Amino acid sequence: MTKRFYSQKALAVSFIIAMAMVALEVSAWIAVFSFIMLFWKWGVENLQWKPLSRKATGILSVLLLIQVLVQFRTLIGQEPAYTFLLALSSLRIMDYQNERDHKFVILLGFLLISVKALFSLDIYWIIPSVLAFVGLWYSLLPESLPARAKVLLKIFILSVPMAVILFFAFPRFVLPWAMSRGSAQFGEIGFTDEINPGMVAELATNTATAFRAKIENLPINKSVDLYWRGSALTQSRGLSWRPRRLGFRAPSTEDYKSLPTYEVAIEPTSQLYLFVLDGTKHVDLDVNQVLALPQNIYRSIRPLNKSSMYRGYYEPDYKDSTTPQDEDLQVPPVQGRVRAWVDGVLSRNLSIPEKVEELQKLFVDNGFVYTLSPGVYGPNDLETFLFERKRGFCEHFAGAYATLARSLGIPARVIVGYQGGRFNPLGNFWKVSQKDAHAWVEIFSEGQWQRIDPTLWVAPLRLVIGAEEFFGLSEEDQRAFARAVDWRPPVKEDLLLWDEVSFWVEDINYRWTYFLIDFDKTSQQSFWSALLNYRIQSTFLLAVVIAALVLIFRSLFKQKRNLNEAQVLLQTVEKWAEKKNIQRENSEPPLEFLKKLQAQFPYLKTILQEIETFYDEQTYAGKTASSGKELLTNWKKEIRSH
Amino acid sequence: MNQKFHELIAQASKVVLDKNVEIRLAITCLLAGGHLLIEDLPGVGKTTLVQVLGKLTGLKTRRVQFTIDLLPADVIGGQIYHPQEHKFVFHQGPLFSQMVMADELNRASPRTQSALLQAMEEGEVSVEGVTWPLPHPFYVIATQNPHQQTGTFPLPESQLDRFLMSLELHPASKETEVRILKGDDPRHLLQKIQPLFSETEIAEALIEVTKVQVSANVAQYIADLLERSRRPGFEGAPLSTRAGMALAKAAKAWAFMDGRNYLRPEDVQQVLIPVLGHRLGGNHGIKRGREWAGALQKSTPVPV
Repeated sequence: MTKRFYSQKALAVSFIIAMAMVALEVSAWIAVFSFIMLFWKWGVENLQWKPLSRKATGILSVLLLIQVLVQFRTLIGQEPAYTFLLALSSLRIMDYQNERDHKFVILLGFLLISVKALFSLDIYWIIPSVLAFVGLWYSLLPESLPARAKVLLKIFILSVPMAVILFFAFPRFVLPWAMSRGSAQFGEIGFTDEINPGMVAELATNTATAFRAKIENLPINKSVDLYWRGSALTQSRGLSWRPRRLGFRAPSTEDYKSLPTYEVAIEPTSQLYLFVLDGTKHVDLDVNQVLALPQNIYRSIRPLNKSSMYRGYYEPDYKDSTTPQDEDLQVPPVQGRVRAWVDGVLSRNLSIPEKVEELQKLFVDNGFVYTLSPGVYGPNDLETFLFERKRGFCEHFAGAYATLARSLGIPARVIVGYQGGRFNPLGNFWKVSQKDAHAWVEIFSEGQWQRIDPTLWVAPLRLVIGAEEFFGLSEEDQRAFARAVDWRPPVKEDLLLWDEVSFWVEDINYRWTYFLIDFDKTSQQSFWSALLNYRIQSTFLLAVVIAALVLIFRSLFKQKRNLNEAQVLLQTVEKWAEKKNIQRENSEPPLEFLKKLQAQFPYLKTILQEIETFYDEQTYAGKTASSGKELLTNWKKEIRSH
Repeated sequence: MNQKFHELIAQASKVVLDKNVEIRLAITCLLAGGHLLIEDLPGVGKTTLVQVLGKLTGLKTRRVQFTIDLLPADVIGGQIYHPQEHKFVFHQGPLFSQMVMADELNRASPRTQSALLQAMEEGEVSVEGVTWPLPHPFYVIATQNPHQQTGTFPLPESQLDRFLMSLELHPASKETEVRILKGDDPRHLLQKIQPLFSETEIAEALIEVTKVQVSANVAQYIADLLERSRRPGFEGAPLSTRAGMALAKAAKAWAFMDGRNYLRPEDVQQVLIPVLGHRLGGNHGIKRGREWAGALQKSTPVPV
């Protein structure tokens, strides 16, 4: 009999949920492809459209494999593998016809859910994941089962203790190849190490969380002061900047332990960047070693393939007075109106602070517009940007500023990272999302490197309220209020109900993620070594696993019949007889067995006869007359008295 | 009523010695509305059994001796021309009786065999386009000689399936034989036997039997038996659902004779070998089939 995918409602819904969750994480084309397939299948089943043949789906899957290989140049790693998995899943739906396909699709559904769990630890995904999971389990149970929901509930209840034990006892391991997000040059979640016009703007359209930070004990509490340093760029090409290879820096030998600290829980990036506040003296990462680079940059020595925690030690009055080098002044040749402006300033023989003031005037007075869609500029399109279009995002301002500063003889560099974040007053942490990606400038003046943020002159509001809320405004409001600066972090009384709910959810999510990240192999081991030693753990684990499996299989597959009272009574008698070494033959009818017992145990004859009659009436004659309880107590009394 | 059946058995066993169980099974088969196949050597009392049953039940009994040249018309009857009235009139054959003994059925040609088998299946016969209903109850007791005997046309399995039960009549015990040989042949009692039942009583009993209840437990037992016969490794022919129904029917009749209106697994076991023997045996013969039926019963657990 052919099965229809969309008449299996539980399966269809949960599978689509699972697919959608994964589709959010991979390239758009594959999501579109999958949903075309789903829609097509719907048409096949409801509008008599022509289905794809198995041959066609086979060929398509080979083509998809090639496409994935072309796009990613590998099949190993999360994104290529999941892209292919998603494609196969949708093709499998197209093929869905019989019981075997049904089971296969359920298996794929479970795979998709697990895949999603590898991508994201966020608690938000638990709801759809659990929904899909339950739906898949439900469809896995045979339709003939009268109480599918009940059985399902039982399975879940039975599996909870198992899951808890596994969480604490199952060895944690990370498969680096499976975890690596071998994706494009810079992933959607990843961060870019060079800026070209438009690149940060592109990052900032992404709403994903980059990291969460707890900085309670620091003297910083305003969004505008939070500059999360990721990388320093020192090679100018006008608007576009690049990093230079950096030498190692000896780790700080000073005692940092007494310094105030902050904690960052970073999402997996497959990259090395550790975003730190200016003034960080030392970083401790839970999984890998940390490299401290010049210019106050920190990197992990291995890619961050899973959510990780690190701790920064912060020195409030830190000054970077490293002497600038020649390369901090190198600029590409500037021409036209830019050259004219530079020459104009240079000819006036100004001091460095005066030059800085000139620069500021240029950005403040010229009516620049801060926007996510600044239009397209070339890498060296300074002139167009500064004097014609005047629309830009932070990287345009930072890039242009630093290049002009260098042209004026001021050592300068561009810093990329994140700025601000959204403060969660309930959980007391900052959530920094990709939207907060930012670029700013440092110039060397008065014997130290100083932070200059040209965006602050153009759109101070963005820095004051954070990107998430700034871009939450309409584009008109963004422009109208860009220069307003009267803002303070929200306190609990300010919150609207909706804000409160969203902060609350965010807070739970933070705690959850923190808990999961924090509970790694080490904590697991210390948990067990505190409790038992390792050998006992493994023996115990094995025993629990076996016991649980036996229990689950028995409850799942043993045909449990509803025994009536008489049958229960008979079993009691049988157990008793077994102790006397008399066993009922398989093929011996119960009544004959009872008669045999009567012959062997004359002193029990009366009670056995009663049981016999009772059994006969209840089981064969279908009479539900008397209750067997009394008989059972009598029986127990009788055998005890002899 | 049931007391009467026991009386019947008691009286019949005075004539047919040492065959209590077989007599009871033969009556069970009658009450279940089925037909009986007896396989054994000639001269072990088959005919006597039928005669005594016919007398005691008061059913109209006929005996047809099957031979190789017997034609269907000899069994069913045929149209005979009446010269005075200038028309053909149907003359009923020996089949038109309530109890028919088809002696040595497998000596007749398949064509004649099948004439009888159609009657057994449908309870009516068609002659030249006219359908004649057979009397009710209609009970066929066929006997067949063992395969090894000369001049036999073995019944195909599908036709064997039409018989509810099959029996083997064993030779009487040595003491009985000595008694008979001394000249004390109980067959002379046949003349004195009076029917125990009125005309309608047997027909009513047949209806009563169908009302016997089958509990889930017993139905499960029968289903288990069927299922086990279909498992790979079981030697006998796999049982059909019809075989299961036959088993239930026969067990009901057995229970009815015990005066119960519900089934026990014991009833099933009592009729198991007669009902399943010829079905499991297939072309290996009834003897082998009965062995397999015994093995099947032994290996199938009775549900608690």
